[in-house]
Amino acid sequence: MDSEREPKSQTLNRQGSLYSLTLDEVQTHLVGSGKALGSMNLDELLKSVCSVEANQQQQQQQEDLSLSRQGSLTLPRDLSKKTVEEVWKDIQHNNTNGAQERRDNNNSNNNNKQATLGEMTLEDLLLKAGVVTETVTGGNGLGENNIPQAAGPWVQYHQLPSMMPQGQSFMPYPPVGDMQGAMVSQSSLLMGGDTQTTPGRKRVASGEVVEKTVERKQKRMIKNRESAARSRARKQVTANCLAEDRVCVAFSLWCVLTLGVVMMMDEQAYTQELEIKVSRLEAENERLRRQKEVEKILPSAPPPDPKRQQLRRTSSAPF
Amino acid sequence: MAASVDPLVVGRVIGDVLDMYIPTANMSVYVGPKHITNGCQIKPSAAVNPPRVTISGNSDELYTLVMTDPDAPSPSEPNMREWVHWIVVDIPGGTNPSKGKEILPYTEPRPPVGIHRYILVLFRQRSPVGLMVQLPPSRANFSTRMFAGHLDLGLPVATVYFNAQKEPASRRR
Repeated sequence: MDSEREPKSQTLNRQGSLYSLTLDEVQTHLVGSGKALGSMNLDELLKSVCSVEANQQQQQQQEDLSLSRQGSLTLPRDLSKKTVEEVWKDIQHNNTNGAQERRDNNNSNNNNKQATLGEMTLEDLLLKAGVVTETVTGGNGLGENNIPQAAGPWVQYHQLPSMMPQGQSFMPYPPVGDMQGAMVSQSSLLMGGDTQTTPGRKRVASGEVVEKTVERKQKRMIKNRESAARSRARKQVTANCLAEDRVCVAFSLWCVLTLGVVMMMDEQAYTQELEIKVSRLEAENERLRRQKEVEKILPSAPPPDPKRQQLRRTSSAPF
Repeated sequence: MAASVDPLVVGRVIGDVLDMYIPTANMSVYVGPKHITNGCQIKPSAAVNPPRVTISGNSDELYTLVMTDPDAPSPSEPNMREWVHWIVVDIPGGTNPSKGKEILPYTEPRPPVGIHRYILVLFRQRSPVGLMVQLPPSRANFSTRMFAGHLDLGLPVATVYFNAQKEPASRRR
């Protein structure tokens, strides 16, 4: 694995290109499909992100993505349970309780691959990204999550036969100094016919030879199994890192899309208000125009009587 | 479905060397230009010099760093578990090991057989260690757990590990 040859900057660039690829995809889908953001097929978007990532992964083998993580990824429970429309409702109505019904509806849509963005919860998104997230719980993810989860595989692992040869065929080794030197001296001792605990083959009856052979085969098999288990563990560590990265990408994608939808809905609401105002003004305008027409046709109403009477009285006063 | 994704558990660092703990500090480790993430692969020739480690924390806190290999001499027969590579104490928080006291000098990874894990463990000290520390009699058969017990270090606050295996001879020279 020549992964360490790659300079840090290149790793960062690759991470950046994954991110910018995501935004480009968003743009492409928005412009190309001509659909409103709320009805975009998120499934395709996710798949394209994951497939590009997989291709890059194959090229670089087990390159890490330079995201250092020393704890588990914890998503705020409130956020992960909400759909985009729920978020919008919260903003509009300033309440956080309206989500129950919609959440129930969404659970039944989990398997619907044509789910639109509005129906897809963050958890759906993460599940589709191929990451197991059902263990995510809110609050202090680190402490409470790690301990019960880790107990599982730990116990399972210890059920494997443990091969810790105690005082078997190795002579005492030099306490301090080069470990490689120590290893060489051990193997040379073995090959040189160490007689401390391993009986020489040629000096024993054939029955015991068979027994020793069987024993050696069994030990070999156990060692192979353990080596395979270690190899799988190494692969699992890398796979989990990649899975966590996918969660991060999916989450940021969700944030971007939610923001977009919220902004769009915001704009729609404003436009609607404007339109209502415009139609009111138009109606008002129309009304005033008709009134003006009417006034042109009919003469204006005569001045009220009290004024005329006043004039007459004035003129008749001096007589 | 309850599979842990914590690389320290999957990679058996927790279990073979450490007990389960809650990380409360950050440690970033670089070997050459490469930033170390758990389980990544490093060439021994790249780790000839001590890794560059930066730790979090306040300057009035003191930390201990231990670098250890539990897979000595080989992961299938780790009779020398653990082989301790580096011990630095009294590192002030927010700094790096060069600001601490190196009580066991760094030796580079030289895995003779198999793929070894090289684990850097960070502890938060309760008090300055200084001269109180006893040098281990040998690098072999070191126990990080026991060492932490002797110095009353408690559980780790951060851990990072990488894998390394012997390089083909033709490359080294």
